[in-house]
Amino acid sequence: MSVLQLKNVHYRVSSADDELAILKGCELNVEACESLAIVGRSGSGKSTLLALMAGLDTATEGEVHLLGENLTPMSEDQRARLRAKQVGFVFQNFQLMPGMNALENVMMPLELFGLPDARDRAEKALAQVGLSHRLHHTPQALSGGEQQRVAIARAIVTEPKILFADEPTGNLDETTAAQVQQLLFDLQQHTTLILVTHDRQFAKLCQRQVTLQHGVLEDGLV
Amino acid sequence: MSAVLSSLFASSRWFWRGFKRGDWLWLWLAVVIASASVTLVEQLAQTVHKSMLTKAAESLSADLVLRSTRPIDPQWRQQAVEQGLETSYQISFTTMAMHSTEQDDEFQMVLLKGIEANYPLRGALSSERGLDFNQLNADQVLADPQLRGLLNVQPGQRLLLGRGEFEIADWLAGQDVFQATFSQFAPQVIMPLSVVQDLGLIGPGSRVNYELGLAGDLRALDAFAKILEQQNHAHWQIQSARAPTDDLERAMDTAWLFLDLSALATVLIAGLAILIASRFYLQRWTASMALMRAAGASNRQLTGLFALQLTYLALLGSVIGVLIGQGLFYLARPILSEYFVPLVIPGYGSAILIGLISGTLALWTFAWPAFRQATQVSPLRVLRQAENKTNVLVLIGVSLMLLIALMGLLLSNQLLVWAVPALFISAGLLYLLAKLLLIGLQRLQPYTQGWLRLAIAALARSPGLVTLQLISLGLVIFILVLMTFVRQDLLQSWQASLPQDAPNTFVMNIQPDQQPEFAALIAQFDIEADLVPMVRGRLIEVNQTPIHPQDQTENRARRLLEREANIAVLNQPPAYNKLTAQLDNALRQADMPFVSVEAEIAELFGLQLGDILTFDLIGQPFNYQITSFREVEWQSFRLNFFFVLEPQADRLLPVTYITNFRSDLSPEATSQLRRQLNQQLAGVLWVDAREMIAQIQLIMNQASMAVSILYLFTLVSSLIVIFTATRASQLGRIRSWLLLRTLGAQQSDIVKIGLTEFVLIGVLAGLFAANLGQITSLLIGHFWLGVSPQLNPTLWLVSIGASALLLLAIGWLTQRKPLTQTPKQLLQQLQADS
Ligand SMILES: Nc1ncnc2c1ncn2[C@@H]1O[C@H](COP(=O)(O)OP(=O)(O)O)[C@@H](O)[C@H]1O
Ligand SMILES: [Mg+2]
Repeated sequence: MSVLQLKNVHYRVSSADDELAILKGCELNVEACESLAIVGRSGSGKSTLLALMAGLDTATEGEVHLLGENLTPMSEDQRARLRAKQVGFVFQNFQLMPGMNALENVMMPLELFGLPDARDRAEKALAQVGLSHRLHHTPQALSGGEQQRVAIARAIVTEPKILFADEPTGNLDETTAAQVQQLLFDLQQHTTLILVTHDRQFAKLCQRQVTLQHGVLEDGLV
Repeated sequence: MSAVLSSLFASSRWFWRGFKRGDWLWLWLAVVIASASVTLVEQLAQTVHKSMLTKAAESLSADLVLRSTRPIDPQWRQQAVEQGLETSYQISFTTMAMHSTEQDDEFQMVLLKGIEANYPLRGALSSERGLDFNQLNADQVLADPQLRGLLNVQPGQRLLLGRGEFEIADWLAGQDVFQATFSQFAPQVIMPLSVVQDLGLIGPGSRVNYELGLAGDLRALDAFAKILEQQNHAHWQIQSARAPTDDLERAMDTAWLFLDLSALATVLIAGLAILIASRFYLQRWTASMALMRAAGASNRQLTGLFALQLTYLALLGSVIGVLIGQGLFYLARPILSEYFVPLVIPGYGSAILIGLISGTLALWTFAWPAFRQATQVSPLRVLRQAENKTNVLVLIGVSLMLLIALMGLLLSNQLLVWAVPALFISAGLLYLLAKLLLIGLQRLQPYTQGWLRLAIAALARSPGLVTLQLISLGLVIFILVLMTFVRQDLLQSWQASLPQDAPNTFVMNIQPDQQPEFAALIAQFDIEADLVPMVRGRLIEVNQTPIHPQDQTENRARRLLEREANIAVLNQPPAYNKLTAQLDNALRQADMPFVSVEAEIAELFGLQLGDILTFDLIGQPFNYQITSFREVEWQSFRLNFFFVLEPQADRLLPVTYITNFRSDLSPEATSQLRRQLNQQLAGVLWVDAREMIAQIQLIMNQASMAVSILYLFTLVSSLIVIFTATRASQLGRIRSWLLLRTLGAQQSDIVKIGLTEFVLIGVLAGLFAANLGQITSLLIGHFWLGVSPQLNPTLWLVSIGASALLLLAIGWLTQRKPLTQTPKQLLQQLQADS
């Protein structure tokens, strides 16, 4: 079953005098529980593409189907509703809520939508990423790897169908990065994982790889 | 529904967690300060107001008094009763009382007052031993204890008044010293109205005051007062407890103004703290909002969530603020009740409500821009630094509207009309001024070196933030400087108006032929005094055009025309009056004597130099030409007159003499002097103002204390603002220090650069404040005082010096840690905060 489909996706940004085409007709089809790596050089448009796929932004042209729904005609609020139920995110710079401790950070999406048993579920998710002993530490007191693990726990706590990760190990040293990578794949078993990275070794851990180059997607590592 | 509920739960949980962590501390403090100060000032003002009104009504013995020189037609009383008002009728006149002892007959002028059983409608008639007036026998009276010294009488002894002989049952108690105005200088003797009318003292020529006292519902009173005023009877005078004497009204107006302004100043200062603090939180708020939007929260939901949190903050802040405000008021109560008897507290509800509303409004007014920007954030921000597309009009417009609402809540309409445009215009100017200062600083940079150069560069990097800091710090320092000067000025002028050697005794109604004897008498008691000749009279024409009380719109003007005033007859105006304008000699009319007019009265009636005024001086009209205007300090307790007339040999005016002086005689000596005066100089009146002056001095001391307390309050809130302002740029500073350290700067260099940045901001803010202060003082000088513009170097020195020092101190106190941290520590802190 296809969970994500891109059809001739274009993305252009217009500045004061000229128009810049970043994506020029991307095609993609992702199956459920698949893990896919999108690689490409810095500035090639990976984050832009990820934003379109996750419904954070809309394409200038073409269609994005996420879990069977066409995102293009949707309003921002409709897309938000879809994100809330089905999508999880992990970012390069962790994006933890400042001031909140690990547990509160993981509880945040559950509390936001008034979901039951927020505390239990958050503790469970933190246990899954191996942070049961640091529930009450704030981001300041955590190392980079620990912060990213909190972010991963937060992404999976709502049990999303699809998980987007934008350079999740980009800010980590090699050893820590390897640990986080392993963790992502351990947790991914029942979820679709779409990973954006410029690290080819990391990409190879995924079932499938595509390369973003000159605004289009090409199969494999180019 | 469940979405709403979950928002409520989530927001309250998040708010409480954040609150405990101290996330909201600065905003919360600012709200507390705003609502505490408003509550305190509001409660104080209402209490003082109400107490004074009650006091005024008690002094009047009614809410409204119709006073007439002729008997009042009973139909008016009838009408008042029909309107549901309480009424009480009384008459009073001065007459001679005689007390016979074995050796001698003693005489004393007294104010005989005939009253009805329900007198007074407001307050109470009390005697020293607590006798009930209505239980007295027909031949018993209550009398002013002053008589004790003047006639050597005791309760139980007898007084002869007209045809009747009366026993003094007891002395009146709780007599109001402020009531001892010049119209009521003689000691009172009180008896039933029916008895007075049988004494045979009221004849065709006698000057009797007839009074109808009214009390009851405010609206009924106002309606009835209007009917009375429409009658336009020249011999009527309507006095309301709500508009007591002019002097009092003016003094109170200034006090209200100071209260209003200080409340506004504190709220604005707190508002600036909120503005800066919210900018400081903005980074954090947008980051959280973007994240939550990425996690799938809708814009509406987030706005609601955030608004709820701010609402909790507003509530928590203003409730605590109101408690603190009321607590302070509670502490002030014992002091207040010493000065205001009776102390009437008009309930706490409205002050509490206003405190709550203004705390909440202040938060929304000043946090709105940050709130709006944060809630408009795009979810894309989690991936890249996307700029916000916020409508500046909405951003500023909403804040401005809220600000107007806030000012409307705190200021009287009259003041609002001025304050709102003034605020907007000055806000615009302030912005320009801040921009100019910043540009100036950047221009200066190429000519500087080393750490100064780096410090300037650091400031120039975030012009928006520096502008905001400059404006708010500058404003705060400006308000502080202004309040310092105003406070000093106020206290000084109060002190000056009542010097230690102010005259405390007035003697009037001295006939021309009694002059030498009077001088000789007081000389025996080592008192010297100048006698001033005066007549009683009324202004009736200006340039041959009759001027009528009923045509006047101003109460003051009407009252002045209705009553006979004391008019001095002197060769030149008193030296202690400052002449503000003088007629050119060429314009003097030959053989027309001059009149010198008090400046405010001249303005009130639109009088010009050279105008011809006609006075009715005991039944006869006389013309005088205006040759000068004078400024008069009414609170000075000197002999002051609206009009000073030139004496003319051919105008035989019924002149009497008045004088005042300072007397430090003992009570016994005073009694002795007054008794001798009574026996030797019939008809001379002695007014002892010592107690009144002592009370006024007391009130002034208390008022200066209140002013100082409010000043302190403003000072404390200002310090909080300045602290917040420095917190706001913390991150940027740490970032640049880190960079400098990694580039190889020594720690001592960092300290120099860091502190220089603070001093620079301080100097700029001080410069800014000095500009404002100079402009304000020039404007006030020009429009208010009519003096020519003057530069005030002290103002510049004080505000620049003080503000630089203040910021240096704050910089050292708050930045000691980051300034001395290692690069690694700085990096950690930076990562933790961003
Ligand atoms: N809204 C925008 N306005 C202007 N340029 C943009 C915008 N969004 C993306 N870009 C540009 O598109 C290019 C791709 O950006 P991004 O998707 O972040 O690349 P990657 O994630 O592969 O490094 C960059 O050059 C970026 O500056
Ligand atoms: Mg990227």
